[in-house]
Amino acid sequence: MTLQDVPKWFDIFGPEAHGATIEERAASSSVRFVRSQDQMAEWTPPATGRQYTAREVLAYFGADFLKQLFFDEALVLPSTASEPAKTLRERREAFGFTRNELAKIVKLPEDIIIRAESPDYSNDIHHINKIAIALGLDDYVIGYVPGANGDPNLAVRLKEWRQAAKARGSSTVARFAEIAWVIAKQHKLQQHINPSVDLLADFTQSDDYGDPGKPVWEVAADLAAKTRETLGLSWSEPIMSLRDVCYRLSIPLIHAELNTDIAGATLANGNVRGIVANVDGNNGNVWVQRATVAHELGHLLWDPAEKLNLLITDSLTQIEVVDRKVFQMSHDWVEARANAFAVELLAPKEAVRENTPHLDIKDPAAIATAIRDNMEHFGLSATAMRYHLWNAFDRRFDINSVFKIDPEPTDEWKGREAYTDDFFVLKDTPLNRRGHFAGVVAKAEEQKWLTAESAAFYLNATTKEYAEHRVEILGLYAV
Amino acid sequence: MNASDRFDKYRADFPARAPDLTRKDADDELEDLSSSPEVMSLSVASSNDTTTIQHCNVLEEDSDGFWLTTKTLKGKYLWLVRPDDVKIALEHGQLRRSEKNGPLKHTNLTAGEAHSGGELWFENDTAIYVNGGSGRFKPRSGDELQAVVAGFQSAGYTVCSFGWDYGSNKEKRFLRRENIIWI
Repeated sequence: MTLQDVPKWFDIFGPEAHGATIEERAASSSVRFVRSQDQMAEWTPPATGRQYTAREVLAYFGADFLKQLFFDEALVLPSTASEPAKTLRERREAFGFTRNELAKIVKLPEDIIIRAESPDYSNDIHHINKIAIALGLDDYVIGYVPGANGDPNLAVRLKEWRQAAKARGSSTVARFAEIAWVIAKQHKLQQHINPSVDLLADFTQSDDYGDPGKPVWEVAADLAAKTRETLGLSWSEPIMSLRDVCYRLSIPLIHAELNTDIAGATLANGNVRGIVANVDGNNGNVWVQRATVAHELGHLLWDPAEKLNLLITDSLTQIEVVDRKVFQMSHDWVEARANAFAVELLAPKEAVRENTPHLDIKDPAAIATAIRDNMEHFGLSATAMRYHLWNAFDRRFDINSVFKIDPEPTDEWKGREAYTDDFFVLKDTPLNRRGHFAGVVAKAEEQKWLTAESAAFYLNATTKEYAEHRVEILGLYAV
Repeated sequence: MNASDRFDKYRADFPARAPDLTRKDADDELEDLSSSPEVMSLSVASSNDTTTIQHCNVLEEDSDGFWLTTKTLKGKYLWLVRPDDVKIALEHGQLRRSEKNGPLKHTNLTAGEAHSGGELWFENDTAIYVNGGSGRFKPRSGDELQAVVAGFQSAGYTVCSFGWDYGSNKEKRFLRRENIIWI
């Protein structure tokens, strides 16, 4: 549809809108829309529903919808009477949550869950959105599109994953479900604000996991070198922020508090994959966390699709293993390659050697100092660097004689990788939304891909709090 | 018996106005068809000519709990409170607009001003579902919708009003079971 098709576009987008296309008009429009559970209209005070920009309505509901909305003033959203109740109920059941569990997850009374799942009631759209997000559904189109663009595999796999171990409760599954929403939302908004970047297309998955002629760690080293090259990094420079690397690759990186048996995970929601890094337990150490993220990057960038499950969780014992013998015995070459890739990406062996020019391999104290120096230089954990230096020097020193090494990262590294985790300008923003997600939300709001009200909702703040800190948030991230 | 005088109190509180033509799509929306036999004056409930009223049979239409929406075209009437009478006509009946053969608009039911308009469905001869769905003469607030609903009640109808959607600050165009309250 072009501007010429509908002479009313001027009226739809308001007199201040300009541009030669509908998209340009929408982008420059100050007209706001509002939706309740069951209908959408142009926003007028004192409407209490969820507000949308013209750009959002055009992007998610389409030009025909906007045109119809203009002529009818209010449009009924549900495609059938059973929506959004049916989608919410079926999704909850697919995850295996009871209504009571879901109520606790979203911190709403169970009565609201019951009402939301009944087609007999009109509910507060903010409650419906909150429940939809907790279930990994698209909050934009809940009620309008049956199923709300939810990835059916996500619920199935998370339910299976939960059932696979007794320790995995509904709260961990719920965290992953919400993270899946954060991943999808960040990716979508990032596509809006930065549509031309698609570095991921430069990676071709590899099913080479080594053979007797070329062991897996050499394959991993090649892949790490290719990764550096694609990212425009030299062969030896330290990667100062994996957060930024993930952002450049359009891979949402989400920090979360998970059970300590999980170091990290890759999680898919639809066709979007993200990385989840646990910040609890040993992974609270940002150097350990960097190894986790690099490990997950190894899976995500290079493993063929058939090797990538919808959810892969990795324990720290898997990730911190750099001793090749362990993998030789386990024959888990997928994990072995991801591990070797992680270490080589963060600290290429040649670069480690170059950074350690005069190592006295007979002096355990000197070895310990060299390990710590390299940890600080490359941002790698003590356990990983100990084995890595040992391998880099062809195992010519006795690894068991190495003195105890201070594992604590420097403040500079903590700042670069986790600066918004401990302190964020909006005190109630959940940890899983304090990464680039927050920056992307603020940027999207600046570009009218979101209303300030939606941005505040996503960051769990009031609109006033968000408005007061918007500039600060934009300054925190290079988005 | 004509029901028009039952709306006098409403008329006194909410004056007539010209249609909002911001959303006018075609010129024939303004063609006055109110003298057509298919455009009826609302009668008090007890004196309805049952042969001319089409019932909506809403329960048979959808077993999914979907009681009624503005999309339910079967038996959907437009109503318009004019200064001197109250007109109703099937939106998708035999009477169509001339140019595009499209459904009636509220502006087809008057040549000038009106107080407000909306949609209604007859559950039976004396019970009606009412909303304020009109692009040209919509009730200006929840209070106005309530007042006009009171007029229908004074005319002897048991009324189920769609009510007001506070989320979108517009008249409701979607009736769910919890809102089905007959007054």
